[in-house]
Amino acid sequence: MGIRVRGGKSGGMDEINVTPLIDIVLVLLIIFMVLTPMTVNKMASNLPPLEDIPPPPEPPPDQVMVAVYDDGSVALNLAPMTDDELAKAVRRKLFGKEKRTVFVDAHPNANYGRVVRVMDRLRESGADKIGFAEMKEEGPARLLAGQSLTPVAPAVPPAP
Amino acid sequence: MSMQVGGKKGGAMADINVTPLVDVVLVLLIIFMVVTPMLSSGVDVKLPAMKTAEEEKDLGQHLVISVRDDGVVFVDRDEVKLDDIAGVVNAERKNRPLLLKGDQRVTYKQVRDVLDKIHADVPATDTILLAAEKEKD
Repeated sequence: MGIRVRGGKSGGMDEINVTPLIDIVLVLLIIFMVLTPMTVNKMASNLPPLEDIPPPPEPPPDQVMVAVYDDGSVALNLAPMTDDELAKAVRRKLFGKEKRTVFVDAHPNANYGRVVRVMDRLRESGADKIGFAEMKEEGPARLLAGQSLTPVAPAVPPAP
Repeated sequence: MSMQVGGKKGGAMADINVTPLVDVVLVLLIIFMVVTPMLSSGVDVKLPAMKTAEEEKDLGQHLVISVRDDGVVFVDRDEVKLDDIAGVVNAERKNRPLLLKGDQRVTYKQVRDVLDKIHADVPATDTILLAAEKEKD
């Protein structure tokens, strides 16, 4: 919008009253600034059911249970690993599955920011639903020194 | 928007009365000072950063529950005790989804206790939203 006022030689503009213009512009400014809302970033988390359902004696073999310990370290189905290994392993486990649910079992004293960070990595790795496991006072189960995981399929298939 | 006034030779601009302008600007300033802290719902906490968080406009559509870094819990902006939280949430909820803003420095237990209390006594809370800061990658 451009307003051009040519004073020429004659009398010249004495004064343009710009006050109403400024008023309107500023009010517009207010309106826009108020209407520009803040954004909120969020993710959904699922809580365990309230009813006491006895846990199955053997967890389903394809269950993905990620533990976060109080020192911030993580483990996938009891196997301790780094964040990057976890991301890869979870991606492998979830690949091609229809229900891509991952459970997070964190130690009560684990840092909340760290837990969210791990959940973020899990979502990056393809988890579409993240459930919190029942919180245990002593934290998630941990492999003791010398204890080994129940044998699983070898990572590298033996050469024929 | 541009405005050009060609005064040239003609009489100089008579002085503009800037008093209304200053009035309006000051009112604006006050409005912003009052409104800015209220723009984000809930109390001010340092949220954990996430890459995968879904971004949504904040129009007050959530009932915001906050856990501050010292562990104090707030519903909207009111401090509540952990034991009263379910009652307050039930009263304030008005069908809104719940959004939990947990400070990244608190422990998992501090957040989880709040979630469990709400889950136990507030209907339809199997899923609770966790607030995060969007991390740019």
